[in-house]
Amino acid sequence: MTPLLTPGVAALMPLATVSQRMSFGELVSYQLNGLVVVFIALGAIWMVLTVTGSFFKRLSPAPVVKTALPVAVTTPIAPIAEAALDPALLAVIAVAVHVSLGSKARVQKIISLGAESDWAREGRRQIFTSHKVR
Amino acid sequence: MFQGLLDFLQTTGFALITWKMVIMWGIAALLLWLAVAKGFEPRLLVPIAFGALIANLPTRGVITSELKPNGVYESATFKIEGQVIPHPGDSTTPGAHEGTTQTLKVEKVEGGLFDFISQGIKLELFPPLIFLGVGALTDFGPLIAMPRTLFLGAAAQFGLFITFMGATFLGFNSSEAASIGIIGGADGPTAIFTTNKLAPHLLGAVAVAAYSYMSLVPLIQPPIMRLLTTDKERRIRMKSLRKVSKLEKLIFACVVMAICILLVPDASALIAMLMLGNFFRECGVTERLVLASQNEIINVLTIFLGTSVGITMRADSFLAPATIKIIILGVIAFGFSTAAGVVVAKIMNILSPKNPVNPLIGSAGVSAVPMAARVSHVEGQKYDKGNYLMMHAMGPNVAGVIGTAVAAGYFISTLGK
Repeated sequence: MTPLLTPGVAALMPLATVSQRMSFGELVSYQLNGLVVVFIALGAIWMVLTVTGSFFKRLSPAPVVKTALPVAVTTPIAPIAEAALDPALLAVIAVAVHVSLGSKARVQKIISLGAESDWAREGRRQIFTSHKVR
Repeated sequence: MFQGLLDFLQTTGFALITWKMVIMWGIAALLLWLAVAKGFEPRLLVPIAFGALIANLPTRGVITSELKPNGVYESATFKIEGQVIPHPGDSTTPGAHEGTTQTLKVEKVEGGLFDFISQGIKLELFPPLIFLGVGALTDFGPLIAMPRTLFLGAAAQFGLFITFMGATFLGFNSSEAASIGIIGGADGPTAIFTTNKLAPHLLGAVAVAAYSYMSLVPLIQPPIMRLLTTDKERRIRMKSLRKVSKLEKLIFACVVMAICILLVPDASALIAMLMLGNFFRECGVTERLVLASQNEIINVLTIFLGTSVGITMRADSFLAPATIKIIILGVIAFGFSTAAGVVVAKIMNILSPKNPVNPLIGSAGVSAVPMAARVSHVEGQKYDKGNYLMMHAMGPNVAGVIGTAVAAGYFISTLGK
Protein backbone atom coordinates (compact mmCIF):
# COMPACT_ATOMS: atom_id res chain seq x y z
CA MET A 1 0.00 0.00 0.00
CA THR A 2 1.56 3.28 -1.07
CA PRO A 3 1.70 5.78 1.79
CA LEU A 4 0.22 9.22 1.19
CA LEU A 5 3.48 10.85 2.30
CA THR A 6 5.83 10.36 -0.65
CA PRO A 7 9.53 11.25 -0.33
CA GLY A 8 8.91 14.37 -2.39
CA VAL A 9 6.25 15.64 -0.01
CA ALA A 10 8.26 14.60 3.05
CA ALA A 11 11.22 16.64 1.83
CA LEU A 12 9.10 19.78 2.04
CA MET A 13 8.22 19.17 5.66
CA PRO A 14 10.48 20.11 8.57
CA LEU A 15 12.40 17.37 10.33
CA ALA A 16 10.41 15.50 12.96
CA THR A 17 13.11 15.96 15.59
CA VAL A 18 14.47 19.19 17.03
CA SER A 19 17.73 19.92 18.81
CA GLN A 20 18.05 19.72 22.56
CA ARG A 21 19.41 23.29 22.73
CA MET A 22 17.42 25.75 20.66
CA SER A 23 18.02 29.37 19.90
CA PHE A 24 15.39 31.92 20.98
CA GLY A 25 13.90 32.07 17.50
CA GLU A 26 13.72 28.28 17.28
CA LEU A 27 12.11 28.17 20.72
CA VAL A 28 9.39 30.63 19.78
CA SER A 29 8.77 28.83 16.51
CA TYR A 30 8.61 25.47 18.30
CA GLN A 31 6.08 26.74 20.85
CA LEU A 32 3.90 28.31 18.19
CA ASN A 33 3.96 25.08 16.18
CA GLY A 34 2.91 23.16 19.27
CA LEU A 35 0.01 25.51 19.99
CA VAL A 36 -1.07 25.33 16.36
CA VAL A 37 -1.04 21.50 16.50
CA VAL A 38 -3.20 21.52 19.64
CA PHE A 39 -5.63 24.03 18.13
CA ILE A 40 -5.80 22.07 14.86
CA ALA A 41 -6.61 18.86 16.73
CA LEU A 42 -9.28 20.40 18.92
CA GLY A 43 -10.51 22.58 16.08
CA ALA A 44 -11.05 19.50 13.93
CA ILE A 45 -12.99 17.87 16.77
CA TRP A 46 -15.01 21.10 17.15
CA MET A 47 -15.93 21.03 13.43
CA VAL A 48 -17.06 17.42 13.62
CA LEU A 49 -19.08 18.05 16.80
CA THR A 50 -20.71 21.16 15.31
CA VAL A 51 -21.78 19.24 12.20
CA THR A 52 -23.02 16.19 14.08
CA GLY A 53 -24.61 18.40 16.72
CA SER A 54 -26.68 20.30 14.17
CA PHE A 55 -27.65 16.99 12.55
CA PHE A 56 -28.81 15.52 15.85
CA LYS A 57 -30.60 18.72 16.84
CA ARG A 58 -32.69 18.44 13.67
CA LEU A 59 -33.45 14.81 14.42
CA SER A 60 -34.60 15.40 17.98
CA PRO A 61 -38.35 16.19 18.38
CA ALA A 62 -39.39 19.81 18.84
CA PRO A 63 -40.04 20.73 22.47
CA VAL A 64 -43.71 20.65 23.43
CA VAL A 65 -45.07 24.16 23.82
CA LYS A 66 -47.17 24.40 26.95
CA THR A 67 -50.33 26.39 26.46
CA ALA A 68 -52.65 27.53 29.16
CA LEU A 69 -55.71 25.31 29.02
CA PRO A 70 -59.03 26.67 30.29
CA VAL A 71 -59.52 24.49 33.31
CA ALA A 72 -61.39 25.08 36.45
CA VAL A 73 -59.38 26.12 39.42
CA THR A 74 -58.71 23.02 41.35
CA THR A 75 -59.21 23.02 45.03
CA PRO A 76 -56.00 22.58 46.99
CA ILE A 77 -55.44 19.18 48.43
CA ALA A 78 -56.77 19.22 51.91
CA PRO A 79 -54.44 18.13 54.60
CA ILE A 80 -55.04 14.57 55.58
CA ALA A 81 -56.82 14.36 58.86
CA GLU A 82 -54.69 12.87 61.54
CA ALA A 83 -57.27 10.17 62.12
CA ALA A 84 -56.83 8.88 58.55
CA LEU A 85 -53.10 8.26 58.94
CA ASP A 86 -51.64 5.11 60.31
CA PRO A 87 -50.64 5.90 63.92
CA ALA A 88 -47.34 4.10 63.38
CA LEU A 89 -46.54 6.42 60.48
CA LEU A 90 -47.39 9.44 62.63
CA ALA A 91 -45.05 8.19 65.32
CA VAL A 92 -42.21 7.69 62.83
CA ILE A 93 -42.66 11.19 61.41
CA ALA A 94 -42.72 12.71 64.90
CA VAL A 95 -39.55 10.86 65.91
CA ALA A 96 -37.77 11.91 62.71
CA VAL A 97 -38.71 15.56 63.29
CA HIS A 98 -37.57 15.37 66.92
CA VAL A 99 -34.22 13.78 66.03
CA SER A 100 -33.42 16.18 63.21
CA LEU A 101 -34.89 19.45 64.53
CA GLY A 102 -34.88 19.00 68.27
CA SER A 103 -37.53 19.01 71.00
CA LYS A 104 -38.78 22.52 70.23
CA ALA A 105 -40.08 21.50 66.77
CA ARG A 106 -43.76 20.62 66.45
CA VAL A 107 -45.58 18.88 63.57
CA GLN A 108 -48.39 21.22 62.53
CA LYS A 109 -49.66 19.66 59.30
CA ILE A 110 -49.13 16.52 57.24
CA ILE A 111 -50.01 16.68 53.52
CA SER A 112 -49.94 13.77 51.09
CA LEU A 113 -47.97 14.43 47.87
CA GLY A 114 -50.24 12.29 45.77
CA ALA A 115 -50.31 8.83 44.28
CA GLU A 116 -46.77 8.71 42.82
CA SER A 117 -44.32 6.94 45.02
CA ASP A 118 -41.39 9.04 46.13
CA TRP A 119 -39.35 5.94 46.70
CA ALA A 120 -38.92 5.42 42.99
CA ARG A 121 -37.74 9.00 42.63
CA GLU A 122 -35.32 8.62 45.54
CA GLY A 123 -33.97 5.40 44.07
CA ARG A 124 -33.29 7.11 40.76
CA ARG A 125 -31.56 9.98 42.54
CA GLN A 126 -29.25 7.61 44.39
CA ILE A 127 -28.30 5.74 41.23
CA PHE A 128 -27.56 8.92 39.27
CA THR A 129 -25.46 10.46 42.03
CA SER A 130 -23.47 7.25 42.54
CA HIS A 131 -21.54 7.85 39.31
CA LYS A 132 -18.90 10.28 40.45
CA VAL A 133 -16.56 11.98 37.99
CA ARG A 134 -12.87 11.90 38.95
CA MET B 1 29.62 -13.33 71.47
CA PHE B 2 30.42 -9.64 71.23
CA GLN B 3 32.13 -10.23 67.90
CA GLY B 4 29.03 -12.07 66.71
CA LEU B 5 26.88 -9.06 67.54
CA LEU B 6 29.29 -6.74 65.76
CA ASP B 7 29.24 -8.99 62.71
CA PHE B 8 25.45 -8.95 62.75
CA LEU B 9 25.34 -5.13 63.06
CA GLN B 10 27.38 -4.84 59.92
CA THR B 11 24.64 -6.64 58.01
CA THR B 12 21.97 -4.18 59.19
CA GLY B 13 21.02 -1.02 57.34
CA PHE B 14 22.12 1.45 60.02
CA ALA B 15 25.59 1.82 58.57
CA LEU B 16 24.10 2.77 55.19
CA ILE B 17 22.00 5.73 56.37
CA THR B 18 23.15 9.10 55.02
CA TRP B 19 22.14 12.64 55.96
CA LYS B 20 20.43 13.04 52.57
CA MET B 21 18.20 10.08 53.37
CA VAL B 22 17.16 11.74 56.62
CA ILE B 23 16.17 14.88 54.71
CA MET B 24 14.12 12.76 52.34
CA TRP B 25 12.35 11.19 55.33
CA GLY B 26 11.31 14.70 56.29
CA ILE B 27 10.06 15.40 52.76
CA ALA B 28 8.14 12.12 52.69
CA ALA B 29 6.61 12.98 56.08
CA LEU B 30 5.59 16.41 54.73
CA LEU B 31 3.92 14.85 51.68
CA LEU B 32 2.10 12.35 53.91
CA TRP B 33 0.90 15.17 56.16
CA LEU B 34 -0.33 17.15 53.15
CA ALA B 35 -2.12 14.10 51.82
CA VAL B 36 -3.61 12.73 55.05
CA ALA B 37 -4.19 15.81 57.19
CA LYS B 38 -4.85 18.37 54.48
CA GLY B 39 -6.43 16.12 51.85
CA PHE B 40 -4.04 17.03 49.00
CA GLU B 41 -4.77 14.41 46.33
CA PRO B 42 -4.36 11.62 48.86
CA ARG B 43 -4.95 8.81 46.37
CA LEU B 44 -1.69 9.70 44.65
CA LEU B 45 0.38 11.52 47.22
CA VAL B 46 0.13 8.75 49.83
CA PRO B 47 1.65 6.05 47.59
CA ILE B 48 4.16 8.55 46.16
CA ALA B 49 5.28 9.65 49.62
CA PHE B 50 5.46 6.07 50.86
CA GLY B 51 7.48 5.10 47.80
CA ALA B 52 9.83 8.00 48.52
CA LEU B 53 10.27 6.72 52.07
CA ILE B 54 11.05 3.22 50.80
CA ALA B 55 13.51 4.63 48.24
CA ASN B 56 15.44 6.36 51.01
CA LEU B 57 15.79 3.42 53.33
CA PRO B 58 18.60 0.87 52.86
CA THR B 59 16.30 -1.80 51.49
CA ARG B 60 17.22 -5.12 49.96
CA GLY B 61 15.08 -6.93 47.47
CA VAL B 62 12.87 -3.92 46.78
CA ILE B 63 14.55 -1.80 44.14
CA THR B 64 17.85 -1.85 42.27
CA SER B 65 19.59 1.37 41.30
CA GLU B 66 22.82 1.78 39.43
CA LEU B 67 24.77 4.92 38.66
CA LYS B 68 25.33 5.35 34.94
CA PRO B 69 28.49 6.98 33.49
CA ASN B 70 26.47 10.14 32.74
CA GLY B 71 25.85 10.60 36.46
CA VAL B 72 22.16 9.64 36.29
CA TYR B 73 20.78 6.87 38.48
CA GLU B 74 18.88 4.22 36.59
CA SER B 75 16.49 2.31 38.79
CA ALA B 76 14.11 -0.62 38.29
CA THR B 77 16.49 -2.89 36.41
CA PHE B 78 16.53 -6.64 36.74
CA LYS B 79 18.81 -9.37 35.45
CA ILE B 80 17.92 -12.43 33.45
CA GLU B 81 20.34 -15.31 33.16
CA GLY B 82 19.74 -17.84 30.50
CA GLN B 83 21.17 -20.03 27.84
CA VAL B 84 20.60 -19.74 24.12
CA ILE B 85 19.36 -23.06 22.87
CA PRO B 86 20.74 -23.67 19.37
CA HIS B 87 18.34 -24.98 16.76
CA PRO B 88 19.39 -28.20 15.00
CA GLY B 89 21.34 -27.51 11.81
CA ASP B 90 21.74 -23.76 12.37
CA SER B 91 25.51 -23.70 12.94
CA THR B 92 26.46 -25.21 9.57
CA THR B 93 24.39 -22.97 7.30
CA PRO B 94 26.24 -19.75 6.32
CA GLY B 95 24.39 -16.63 7.42
CA ALA B 96 21.93 -18.73 9.36
CA HIS B 97 22.02 -16.31 12.38
CA GLU B 98 20.90 -13.33 10.36
CA GLY B 99 17.16 -12.73 10.88
CA THR B 100 16.58 -16.07 12.59
CA THR B 101 14.87 -16.37 15.93
CA GLN B 102 16.66 -17.98 18.80
CA THR B 103 15.32 -19.70 21.87
CA LEU B 104 16.48 -18.47 25.26
CA LYS B 105 16.06 -20.74 28.23
CA VAL B 106 15.70 -18.49 31.27
CA GLU B 107 17.38 -19.99 34.29
CA LYS B 108 17.37 -17.17 36.77
CA VAL B 109 15.64 -13.79 37.16
CA GLU B 110 17.11 -11.41 39.73
CA GLY B 111 15.40 -8.29 40.86
CA GLY B 112 13.52 -6.63 43.68
CA LEU B 113 9.77 -6.18 44.10
CA PHE B 114 9.65 -2.76 42.50
CA ASP B 115 12.16 -3.67 39.81
CA PHE B 116 9.28 -5.63 38.30
CA ILE B 117 6.35 -3.42 39.32
CA SER B 118 8.12 -0.31 37.99
CA GLN B 119 8.26 -1.93 34.57
CA GLY B 120 4.68 -0.72 34.32
CA ILE B 121 6.03 2.82 34.09
CA LYS B 122 9.15 1.98 32.08
CA LEU B 123 7.11 0.05 29.53
CA GLU B 124 4.48 2.81 29.53
CA LEU B 125 1.67 0.54 30.65
CA PHE B 126 0.35 2.27 33.75
CA PRO B 127 -0.52 5.76 32.42
CA PRO B 128 -2.58 4.56 29.43
CA LEU B 129 -4.36 1.96 31.57
CA ILE B 130 -5.20 4.63 34.14
CA PHE B 131 -6.58 6.67 31.25
CA LEU B 132 -8.89 3.72 30.55
CA GLY B 133 -10.37 4.33 33.98
CA VAL B 134 -10.43 8.10 33.44
CA GLY B 135 -12.38 7.64 30.22
CA ALA B 136 -14.84 5.34 31.98
CA LEU B 137 -15.37 7.95 34.69
CA THR B 138 -15.70 10.99 32.38
CA ASP B 139 -18.92 12.31 30.91
CA PHE B 140 -18.13 14.21 27.70
CA GLY B 141 -21.77 15.30 27.35
CA PRO B 142 -21.20 18.97 28.37
CA LEU B 143 -18.36 19.23 25.87
CA ILE B 144 -20.43 17.71 23.04
CA ALA B 145 -23.34 20.03 23.87
CA MET B 146 -21.07 23.09 23.67
CA PRO B 147 -18.22 22.24 21.30
CA ARG B 148 -16.64 25.71 21.34
CA THR B 149 -15.36 25.00 24.84
CA LEU B 150 -12.80 22.79 23.10
CA PHE B 151 -10.91 26.01 22.35
CA LEU B 152 -10.78 26.81 26.07
CA GLY B 153 -9.18 23.41 26.62
CA ALA B 154 -6.72 24.18 23.83
CA ALA B 155 -5.97 27.64 25.23
CA ALA B 156 -5.09 26.16 28.61
CA GLN B 157 -2.17 24.33 26.96
CA PHE B 158 -0.55 27.74 26.47
CA GLY B 159 0.94 27.38 29.94
CA LEU B 160 2.80 24.26 28.85
CA PHE B 161 4.58 26.04 26.08
CA ILE B 162 5.40 29.16 28.10
CA THR B 163 6.88 26.96 30.82
CA PHE B 164 8.88 25.09 28.20
CA MET B 165 10.56 28.38 27.31
CA GLY B 166 11.11 29.25 30.96
CA ALA B 167 12.66 25.85 31.66
CA THR B 168 14.97 26.24 28.67
CA PHE B 169 16.16 29.62 29.96
CA LEU B 170 16.88 28.01 33.35
CA GLY B 171 19.27 25.56 31.76
CA PHE B 172 17.14 22.49 31.08
CA ASN B 173 17.46 20.83 27.69
CA SER B 174 14.42 20.52 25.42
CA SER B 175 13.35 17.07 26.61
CA GLU B 176 13.55 18.09 30.25
CA ALA B 177 11.76 21.36 29.51
CA ALA B 178 8.90 19.48 27.83
CA SER B 179 8.55 17.16 30.84
CA ILE B 180 8.40 20.19 33.13
CA GLY B 181 6.02 22.10 30.88
CA ILE B 182 3.52 19.24 30.84
CA ILE B 183 2.92 19.90 34.55
CA GLY B 184 0.83 22.87 33.41
CA GLY B 185 -1.65 20.47 31.87
CA ALA B 186 -2.55 19.29 35.39
CA ASP B 187 -2.80 15.72 34.16
CA GLY B 188 -0.87 13.20 36.24
CA PRO B 189 -0.83 10.17 33.91
CA THR B 190 0.09 12.33 30.90
CA ALA B 191 2.88 14.01 32.86
CA ILE B 192 4.29 10.64 33.91
CA PHE B 193 3.90 9.22 30.38
CA THR B 194 5.74 12.18 28.84
CA THR B 195 8.46 12.42 31.46
CA ASN B 196 9.16 8.69 31.29
CA LYS B 197 9.76 9.01 27.55
CA LEU B 198 11.69 12.27 27.50
CA ALA B 199 13.39 12.75 30.87
CA PRO B 200 12.94 9.72 33.15
CA HIS B 201 15.47 11.05 35.66
CA LEU B 202 13.02 13.89 36.47
CA LEU B 203 10.06 11.55 37.03
CA GLY B 204 9.94 11.89 40.81
CA ALA B 205 10.10 15.67 40.90
CA VAL B 206 7.64 16.14 38.03
CA ALA B 207 5.10 13.74 39.52
CA VAL B 208 5.25 15.34 42.96
CA ALA B 209 4.92 18.81 41.44
CA ALA B 210 2.06 17.77 39.16
CA TYR B 211 -0.04 16.07 41.85
CA SER B 212 0.70 18.70 44.48
CA TYR B 213 -0.40 21.52 42.22
CA MET B 214 -3.47 19.60 41.10
CA SER B 215 -4.62 19.63 44.69
CA LEU B 216 -3.73 23.33 44.99
CA VAL B 217 -6.00 24.31 42.10
CA PRO B 218 -8.59 25.87 44.48
CA LEU B 219 -5.83 28.09 45.87
CA ILE B 220 -3.88 28.95 42.72
CA GLN B 221 -6.69 29.64 40.28
CA PRO B 222 -9.18 32.02 41.98
CA PRO B 223 -6.83 35.03 42.33
CA ILE B 224 -5.89 34.75 38.65
CA MET B 225 -9.55 34.42 37.66
CA ARG B 226 -10.51 37.52 39.66
CA LEU B 227 -7.59 39.50 38.27
CA LEU B 228 -8.57 38.88 34.66
CA THR B 229 -12.36 39.25 34.84
CA THR B 230 -14.73 42.09 35.64
CA ASP B 231 -17.65 41.83 38.01
CA LYS B 232 -20.08 41.94 35.09
CA GLU B 233 -18.29 39.11 33.29
CA ARG B 234 -18.34 36.88 36.36
CA ARG B 235 -22.12 37.23 36.52
CA ILE B 236 -22.73 36.09 32.93
CA ARG B 237 -25.35 33.37 32.83
CA MET B 238 -24.96 30.88 30.03
CA LYS B 239 -27.68 29.13 28.07
CA SER B 240 -28.71 25.71 29.29
CA LEU B 241 -26.94 22.79 27.68
CA ARG B 242 -28.93 20.63 25.28
CA LYS B 243 -29.43 16.94 25.89
CA VAL B 244 -26.80 14.81 24.18
CA SER B 245 -27.84 11.43 22.82
CA LYS B 246 -26.01 8.17 23.37
CA LEU B 247 -25.17 7.88 19.67
CA GLU B 248 -23.48 11.28 19.71
CA LYS B 249 -21.28 10.23 22.61
CA LEU B 250 -20.31 7.01 20.86
CA ILE B 251 -19.48 8.86 17.64
CA PHE B 252 -17.51 11.40 19.68
CA ALA B 253 -15.29 8.68 21.19
CA CYS B 254 -14.43 7.18 17.80
CA VAL B 255 -13.95 10.51 16.01
CA VAL B 256 -11.72 12.02 18.69
CA MET B 257 -9.56 8.92 18.75
CA ALA B 258 -9.17 8.93 14.97
CA ILE B 259 -8.37 12.64 14.71
CA CYS B 260 -5.87 12.71 17.56
CA ILE B 261 -4.06 9.54 16.50
CA LEU B 262 -3.81 10.72 12.90
CA LEU B 263 -2.40 14.07 14.01
CA VAL B 264 -0.11 12.92 16.83
CA PRO B 265 0.48 9.16 16.66
CA ASP B 266 2.77 9.32 19.68
CA ALA B 267 -0.26 10.09 21.85
CA SER B 268 -2.04 6.97 20.58
CA ALA B 269 -1.75 4.95 23.78
CA LEU B 270 -3.24 7.68 25.95
CA ILE B 271 -6.00 8.78 23.58
CA ALA B 272 -6.99 5.25 22.55
CA MET B 273 -7.38 4.04 26.14
CA LEU B 274 -9.21 7.22 27.16
CA MET B 275 -11.73 6.78 24.39
CA LEU B 276 -12.01 3.02 24.91
CA GLY B 277 -12.94 3.60 28.53
CA ASN B 278 -15.43 6.25 27.49
CA PHE B 279 -16.94 3.97 24.86
CA PHE B 280 -17.40 1.27 27.50
CA ARG B 281 -19.23 3.82 29.65
CA GLU B 282 -21.50 5.22 26.95
CA CYS B 283 -22.45 2.08 25.03
CA GLY B 284 -24.41 0.80 28.03
CA VAL B 285 -23.85 -2.88 27.27
CA THR B 286 -20.52 -3.38 29.00
CA GLU B 287 -21.53 -2.62 32.56
CA ARG B 288 -19.07 -5.01 34.18
CA LEU B 289 -16.19 -3.62 32.11
CA VAL B 290 -17.18 -0.11 33.11
CA LEU B 291 -17.30 -1.03 36.78
CA ALA B 292 -13.92 -2.74 36.54
CA SER B 293 -12.38 0.24 34.73
CA GLN B 294 -13.83 2.77 37.17
CA ASN B 295 -12.87 0.82 40.27
CA GLU B 296 -10.54 -2.16 40.37
CA ILE B 297 -8.32 -1.30 37.40
CA ILE B 298 -7.79 2.35 38.19
CA ASN B 299 -7.39 1.75 41.93
CA VAL B 300 -4.84 -1.05 41.61
CA LEU B 301 -2.84 0.84 39.01
CA THR B 302 -2.94 4.00 41.10
CA ILE B 303 -1.25 2.10 43.93
CA PHE B 304 1.45 0.68 41.67
CA LEU B 305 1.98 3.90 39.73
CA GLY B 306 2.19 6.05 42.83
CA THR B 307 4.63 3.82 44.66
CA SER B 308 6.75 3.28 41.53
CA VAL B 309 6.99 7.04 41.03
CA GLY B 310 7.84 7.57 44.67
CA ILE B 311 10.54 4.92 44.46
CA THR B 312 12.37 7.09 41.93
CA MET B 313 12.75 9.85 44.52
CA ARG B 314 16.17 8.81 45.73
CA ALA B 315 17.94 11.47 47.75
CA ASP B 316 20.81 11.66 45.27
CA SER B 317 18.54 12.60 42.38
CA PHE B 318 15.72 14.45 44.19
CA LEU B 319 17.81 16.75 46.39
CA ALA B 320 19.15 18.77 43.51
CA PRO B 321 18.69 22.41 42.38
CA ALA B 322 16.67 21.06 39.46
CA THR B 323 13.90 19.97 41.85
CA ILE B 324 13.42 23.49 43.21
CA LYS B 325 13.33 24.86 39.67
CA ILE B 326 10.73 22.25 38.67
CA ILE B 327 8.52 23.17 41.63
CA ILE B 328 8.70 26.87 40.75
CA LEU B 329 8.16 26.27 37.06
CA GLY B 330 5.20 24.01 37.86
CA VAL B 331 3.26 26.81 39.51
CA ILE B 332 4.16 29.14 36.62
CA ALA B 333 2.77 26.55 34.19
CA PHE B 334 -0.48 26.34 36.15
CA GLY B 335 -0.83 30.07 36.37
CA PHE B 336 -0.34 30.67 32.66
CA SER B 337 -2.69 27.83 31.73
CA THR B 338 -5.40 29.32 33.93
CA ALA B 339 -4.86 32.82 32.58
CA ALA B 340 -4.83 31.71 28.96
CA GLY B 341 -8.14 29.88 29.33
CA VAL B 342 -9.81 32.95 30.88
CA VAL B 343 -8.39 35.30 28.23
CA VAL B 344 -9.54 33.11 25.34
CA ALA B 345 -13.02 32.96 26.87
CA LYS B 346 -13.07 36.77 26.88
CA ILE B 347 -11.95 36.80 23.25
CA MET B 348 -14.75 34.37 22.39
CA ASN B 349 -17.23 36.82 23.92
CA ILE B 350 -15.88 39.61 21.73
CA LEU B 351 -16.30 37.44 18.65
CA SER B 352 -19.69 36.06 19.68
CA PRO B 353 -21.42 38.68 21.87
CA LYS B 354 -24.92 37.25 21.40
CA ASN B 355 -24.03 33.95 23.04
CA PRO B 356 -21.51 34.86 25.73
CA VAL B 357 -19.39 32.47 27.72
CA ASN B 358 -18.71 33.15 31.38
CA PRO B 359 -14.91 33.67 31.38
CA LEU B 360 -14.65 31.88 34.72
CA ILE B 361 -15.10 28.56 32.93
CA GLY B 362 -11.99 29.29 30.86
CA SER B 363 -9.82 28.43 33.84
CA ALA B 364 -11.34 24.94 33.85
CA GLY B 365 -9.32 24.13 30.73
CA VAL B 366 -6.63 22.65 32.94
CA SER B 367 -7.17 18.92 33.13
CA ALA B 368 -7.76 18.65 36.89
CA VAL B 369 -11.17 16.97 36.46
CA PRO B 370 -13.52 17.85 38.13
CA MET B 371 -11.75 20.11 40.60
CA ALA B 372 -11.09 22.92 38.15
CA ALA B 373 -14.73 22.90 37.04
CA ARG B 374 -15.82 23.04 40.65
CA VAL B 375 -13.53 26.04 41.25
CA SER B 376 -15.19 27.88 38.35
CA HIS B 377 -18.62 27.05 39.73
CA VAL B 378 -17.76 28.18 43.26
CA GLU B 379 -16.25 31.44 42.01
CA GLY B 380 -19.32 32.14 39.92
CA GLN B 381 -21.57 31.46 42.91
CA LYS B 382 -19.76 34.11 44.93
CA TYR B 383 -21.08 36.78 42.55
CA ASP B 384 -24.41 35.25 41.58
CA LYS B 385 -25.94 32.56 43.78
CA GLY B 386 -28.29 31.49 41.00
CA ASN B 387 -25.53 30.96 38.44
CA TYR B 388 -24.72 27.25 38.05
CA LEU B 389 -21.53 26.96 36.05
CA MET B 390 -20.55 23.42 37.01
CA MET B 391 -21.80 21.59 33.92
CA HIS B 392 -20.68 24.39 31.59
CA ALA B 393 -17.20 24.26 33.12
CA MET B 394 -17.01 20.48 32.63
CA GLY B 395 -16.80 21.11 28.87
CA PRO B 396 -13.41 22.85 28.89
CA ASN B 397 -12.31 20.69 31.80
CA VAL B 398 -12.56 17.45 29.83
CA ALA B 399 -11.37 19.20 26.65
CA GLY B 400 -8.21 19.97 28.57
CA VAL B 401 -7.56 16.26 29.04
CA ILE B 402 -7.60 15.77 25.27
CA GLY B 403 -5.56 18.95 24.71
CA THR B 404 -2.86 17.91 27.16
CA ALA B 405 -2.61 14.47 25.55
CA VAL B 406 -2.22 16.11 22.12
CA ALA B 407 0.45 18.47 23.48
CA ALA B 408 2.25 15.49 25.02
CA GLY B 409 2.12 13.71 21.66
CA TYR B 410 3.63 16.77 19.99
CA PHE B 411 6.50 16.90 22.48
CA ILE B 412 7.21 13.17 22.21
CA SER B 413 7.04 13.10 18.42
CA THR B 414 9.44 16.04 18.06
CA LEU B 415 11.78 15.41 20.98
CA GLY B 416 11.65 11.65 21.46
CA LYS B 417 14.55 9.59 20.18
